[in-house]
Amino acid sequence: MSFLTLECATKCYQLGSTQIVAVKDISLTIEGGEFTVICGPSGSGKSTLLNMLSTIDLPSEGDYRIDNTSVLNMGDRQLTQMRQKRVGIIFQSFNLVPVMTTRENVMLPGQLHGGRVVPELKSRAETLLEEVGVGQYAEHRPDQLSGGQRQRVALARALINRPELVIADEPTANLDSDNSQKIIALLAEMNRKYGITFVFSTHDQLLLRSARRCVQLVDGRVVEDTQCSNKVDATVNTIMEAQ
Amino acid sequence: MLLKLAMRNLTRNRSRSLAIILAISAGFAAINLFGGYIANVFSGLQRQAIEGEKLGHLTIARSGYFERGGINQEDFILSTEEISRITTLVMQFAEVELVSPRLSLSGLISDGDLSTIFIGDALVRTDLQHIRKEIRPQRGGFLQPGNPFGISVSKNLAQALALEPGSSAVLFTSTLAGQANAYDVDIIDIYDTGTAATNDKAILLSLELARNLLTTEGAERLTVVLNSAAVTEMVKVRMKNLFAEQGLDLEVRTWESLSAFYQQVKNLFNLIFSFIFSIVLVIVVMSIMNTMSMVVIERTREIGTLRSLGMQRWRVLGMFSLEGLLIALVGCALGLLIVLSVGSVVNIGGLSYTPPSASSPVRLLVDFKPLLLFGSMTMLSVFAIVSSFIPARRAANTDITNALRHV
Repeated sequence: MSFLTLECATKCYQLGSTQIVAVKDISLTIEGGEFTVICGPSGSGKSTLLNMLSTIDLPSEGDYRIDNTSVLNMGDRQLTQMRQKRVGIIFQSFNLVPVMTTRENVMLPGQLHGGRVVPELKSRAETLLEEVGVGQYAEHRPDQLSGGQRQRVALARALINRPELVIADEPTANLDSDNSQKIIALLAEMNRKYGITFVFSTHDQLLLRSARRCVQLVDGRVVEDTQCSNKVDATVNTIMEAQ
Repeated sequence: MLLKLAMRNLTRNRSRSLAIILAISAGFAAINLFGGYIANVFSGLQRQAIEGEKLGHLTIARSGYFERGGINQEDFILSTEEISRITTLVMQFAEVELVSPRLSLSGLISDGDLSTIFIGDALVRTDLQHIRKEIRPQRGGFLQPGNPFGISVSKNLAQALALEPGSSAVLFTSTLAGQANAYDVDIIDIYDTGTAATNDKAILLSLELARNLLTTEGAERLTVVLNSAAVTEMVKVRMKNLFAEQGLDLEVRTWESLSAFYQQVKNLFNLIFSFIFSIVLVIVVMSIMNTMSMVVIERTREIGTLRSLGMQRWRVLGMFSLEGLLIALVGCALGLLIVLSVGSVVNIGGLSYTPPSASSPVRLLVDFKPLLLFGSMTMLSVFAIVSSFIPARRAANTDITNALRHV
């Protein structure tokens, strides 16, 4: 049984009197622990597909199941709860809350999830910040950090609730190559260490080379779905060695 | 978490937050300074009515006296037996300090050469001090316990007839039976009634003298002084019930219902206060709604982020409503400081003014009313929440993908 299952999923938007079909009739299954890249040219529907996979958007037609449970039958409250518990999201522009410190930003999804003792959450946030290499900036505000550091914080935030799935929309698009490499290495390491399913979109060749699976979109359709096992480990090793 | 977020968000655009906080604090200060001023005026008018006009807290008379007593006075006279019975009944109330019989009369007063009309208020000489207490002794208006024929004359009347303490005059009236009657009286005091309209005709005289002039042994009404004005209404109801149980056809009126001037001033000030309060509320509602709408637009992307991270709609709603509430509370706190400082300066400053129809200046004072302060703070806070609710709801219902695309 697959972890994520998209079945004949189509997403349409209404733009004035015109109906835009962003993704069309996509069927896709992703197993737990996969490290999958969604690639394709601009406007090919990568972001729409990732939005559907992260449940912040739903297919107009077709079905999307997580652990064989259709998300189409869930209300906003249930979807929100599911994102709290099971999904971590990393944005291209980091999207950290500017009035919160780094540590508070990382703790935020945990506080939204609730039910956890705050000191434990704080300690987990600090551990994650150490793991992603920005532990010394716990009391800094986002505007005091570089782009690479912010994306590391965003990664820590995505992992705070120990999600089963992390969705990242072009996580290295706003970073220089050095920081991109570091972020890719971190993503791959987290995937290997915690067995978290990673799905991300990118134009970054380095990131493309690191993926075990590459799903290529053109005009909202899947045109290629390639498995390339062990590449990620090799890439991580290459990056680590280079560092 | 929501509170911390809301507090920090207030500091994001400091100048905008400061502007709206200042607007709220100015509104809060305007409400409470004016409210404190009129509270002081009401309290002064209450004392003036109860003690100055000598209405006491309650007045007891035969039913119909307050409507027709001025024309058929003799029909409403209470006999000495009735006065005694009513006094005994009323004195059973623990709140009652004094029951005093009263008579009103009018006629002509003459210094021998000139005559003019007078309106007389007659009461037991020894009760006068108890009724008027310590109110404005400098205005005069005293009777001598040992001289039943001594009267006190209002200042403009005294001036018109060239009367002064120690001089004498003659009072001409009709008895209750309609016959002419006159008495020589001694002027023992000149007083200021406090009202221009009565300062040229009012006199104070003893009940004995009034009884002699009207040829009656009774009184037309009984003035009741209570130990506190706050219990007036409650005692009135109990008294009415007691009189009904005893088969007495009596009417009980409070000082408030007898003082037309107090009612008129109160209604006028309440109208002005409502008008000011409405303006302030409109300013607060519009300011907060406008500010929160701008805030929601500016933070659309952040709202999308928070929603995608798992923030429920109600939390988004709560976060923005809380920001509106915080703005109102900080504004009210600043407003409170303004009220206390400006109010203290006004109270210490010794400013005075002469109100319309008053005969002398009165101090401009501001009372600090905790109930008004708390009430207006609560009201402004509620309106702040309500006015931030609409933009907050828009934020909560924002489509996540659209919000994340917002630039």
